[in-house]
Amino acid sequence: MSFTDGRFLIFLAIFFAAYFAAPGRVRWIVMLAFSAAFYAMLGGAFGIGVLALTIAIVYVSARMIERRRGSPQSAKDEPARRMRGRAPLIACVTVNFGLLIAFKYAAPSLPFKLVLIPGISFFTFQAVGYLVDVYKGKVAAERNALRLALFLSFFPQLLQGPISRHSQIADDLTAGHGWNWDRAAGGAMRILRGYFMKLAIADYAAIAVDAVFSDVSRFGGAMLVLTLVLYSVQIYADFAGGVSITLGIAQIVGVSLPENFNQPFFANSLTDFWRRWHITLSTWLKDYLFYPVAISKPLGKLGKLARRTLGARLGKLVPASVATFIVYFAMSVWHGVSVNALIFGALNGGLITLSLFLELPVERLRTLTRFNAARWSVARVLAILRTFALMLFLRIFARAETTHTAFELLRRMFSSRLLVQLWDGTLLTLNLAPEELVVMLAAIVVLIVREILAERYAVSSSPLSQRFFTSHPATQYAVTLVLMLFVLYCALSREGYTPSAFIYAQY
Amino acid sequence: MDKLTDVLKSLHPHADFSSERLVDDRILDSFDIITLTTELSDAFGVELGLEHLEPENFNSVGAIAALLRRLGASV
Repeated sequence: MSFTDGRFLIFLAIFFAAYFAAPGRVRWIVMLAFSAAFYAMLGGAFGIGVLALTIAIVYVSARMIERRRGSPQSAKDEPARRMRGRAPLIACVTVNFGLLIAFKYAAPSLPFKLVLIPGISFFTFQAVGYLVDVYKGKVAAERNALRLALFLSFFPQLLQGPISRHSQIADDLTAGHGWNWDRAAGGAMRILRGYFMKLAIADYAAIAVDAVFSDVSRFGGAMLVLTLVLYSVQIYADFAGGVSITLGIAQIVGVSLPENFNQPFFANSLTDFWRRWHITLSTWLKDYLFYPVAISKPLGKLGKLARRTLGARLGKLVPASVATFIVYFAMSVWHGVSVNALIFGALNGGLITLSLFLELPVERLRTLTRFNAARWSVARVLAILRTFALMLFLRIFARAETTHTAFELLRRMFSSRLLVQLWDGTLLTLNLAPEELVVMLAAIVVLIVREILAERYAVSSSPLSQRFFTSHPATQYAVTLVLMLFVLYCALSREGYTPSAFIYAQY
Repeated sequence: MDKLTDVLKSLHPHADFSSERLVDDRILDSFDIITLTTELSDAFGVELGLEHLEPENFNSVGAIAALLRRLGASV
């Protein structure tokens, strides 16, 4: 049952009714019951079994880690206590990632059919983050297993995230927040924006992008570049749209989930892009993969050797760059194990690692030329365009089903431009009716305006969402009406049409 | 304390380490902190782990010294 399934809206309405009708102290039980029901509908009895097993293992392990580890602030027997706490941590993390690898990566190649477990990446990542935080002493191990179960299975975020930390949401989840008009209005607007992005942009774009990628040999460079741009918009509208629905549902019941996007198309470097795209995964990887790898003993020795031979400034980059490469490579492979995903990962990790070493000379060059990409200026626009072009190039490997298609597309991009395809009617052969094309393009314009405004107010004291609710009522009605019309048109005009599955729900 | 100052100066010879906001003001970046975990572990015979990599532990010379003392080093 996806967010775009009509049954989900009925499920959601019943959930809200039950949640707000229940007394405050049992509201979190209502959330847990609906989360279990939602997951049972998605993953069946076997899925529920795997999720319950994960919760049980994490619950017992966290209690064990805490008991054996003691307080990290106390110096007494520190190394011995650390070792004692590390054993259950490593055992539990291994079991969790073992289950993830078995169900996500090994399942397709096994001789027998293994049921896919929806959302396994997300609850595994949350579980591992929680365990490490207990080990570090940042959070106390949960005493109530059902509260832990809710943290790991809260239904709006179960499929696509965002990946939350226990310290961020556990209190909110069990607080039993009552009805609040401001929260409800903000949440409803986020849900509406999410459906707008998914239905009016992502689903139409998916049809056109699929049409091009099914036979790239029909198209010249101009159309292929346009398709890659559309694919970038599609994947953003799909993922950020889904997460917007999640955040909106959570907001209505008073749960503040972390933001997952920050206008990624305004990134002025690849590193900046990953700070703005799927933020909760990037920060998760930084805290739970980058730092453990970077401070590991082998990399510590490598760092010492590098500092001796290359000097302090360059030498300190060596262990950090190895850990950086591993993080970005892991992030790419998380999207799937294929030759294309490996190329995507190696290019991503390689380019970002290279940029670490080039930082110093580039900084000197910037000082000399007064080329400052951090401020709004021609330099910043050029840096944004360069990053966007780089991401388009990398996304070829993320989207193309085979390496052959990826290289064929690259070859055609440079060998035959065929600009004429942009206006000779080729656009109308992409399985979209002319009015659908117009609706999609209009929706993209609306999204671009929203992104520009959000970026403009990102650093101000009142961000766009706040400004919206303090703007003139006419503006609020107009924006809401426009978004509703788009959603209604998309939902009603496509008879017999099944919305495409959310792309990130498969991860 | 001299030994600690020497370790810090080996990273940034010209930096002013009297600040109380070494991490917040990016005098020490995340790569410096990674380097420091190895250097401080070797210099003071303690083992710095993942749980110690919090900005507040590295924001001043005093905070670093306090962390090392908690781990049993004499600073």
